[in-house]
Amino acid sequence: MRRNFTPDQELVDQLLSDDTNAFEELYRRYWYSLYSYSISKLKSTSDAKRIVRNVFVSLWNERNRLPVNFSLSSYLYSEVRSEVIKCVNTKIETEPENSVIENQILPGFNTTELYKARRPVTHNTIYPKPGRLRLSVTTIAQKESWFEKQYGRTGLKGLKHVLQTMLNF
Amino acid sequence: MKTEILHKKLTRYIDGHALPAETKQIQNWLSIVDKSELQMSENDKITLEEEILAEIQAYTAYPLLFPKSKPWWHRITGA
Repeated sequence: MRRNFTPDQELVDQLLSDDTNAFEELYRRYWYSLYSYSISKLKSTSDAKRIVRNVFVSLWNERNRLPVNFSLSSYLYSEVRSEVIKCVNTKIETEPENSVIENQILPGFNTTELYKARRPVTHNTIYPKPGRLRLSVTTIAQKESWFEKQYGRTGLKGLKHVLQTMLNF
Repeated sequence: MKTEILHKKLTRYIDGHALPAETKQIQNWLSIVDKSELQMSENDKITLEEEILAEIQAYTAYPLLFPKSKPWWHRITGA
């Protein structure tokens, strides 16, 4: 498959001149991630397919009204999220006894499940946490006096400065 | 949570009348990404990609309104 490395912004600009190649390139870049997101939320391939189609149809129709400094990925994801919510709502309305909603979608709104979304990003374990570097006051004093003897007061000041800079980095 | 309660919350959210706690609850649900990868063979993926694109083309009719111009070598060779 031929790869196109043109930035999104450039392709979005080309949409203004009704460039269908640019539109198709944008579609090929994003359709799958939008589709898999929709499936993960709705557990339905037909709904996911419809949502992806609607989002791109709306992108094409709105191409002349896109704002300046427009972020395509933000736009596409916000459209998909809104379509997903509308789809769940319509499903509840039309098929209240739907087992997918009751068994797979509804439990996702429980507090324990939602707690996952609030968890902070885990700290990279390759580097030690700053808290683990803490030494006792006595050890620090011993190390400082040893360093001062070796390199003098100016050397100690320099080392403190370097360490401070590294910790703040 | 019951289905009816969720329906009311979602309706308020769509209409822009949801309470801050409800908005947060819905947005949190939307931000949870299922890490289990969608299983699809490369061929199925290509077929689906073309299928959805064909639907988009049918809905927007852009191939009719903005036909792609043939490359110069096609015009010369009549391909």
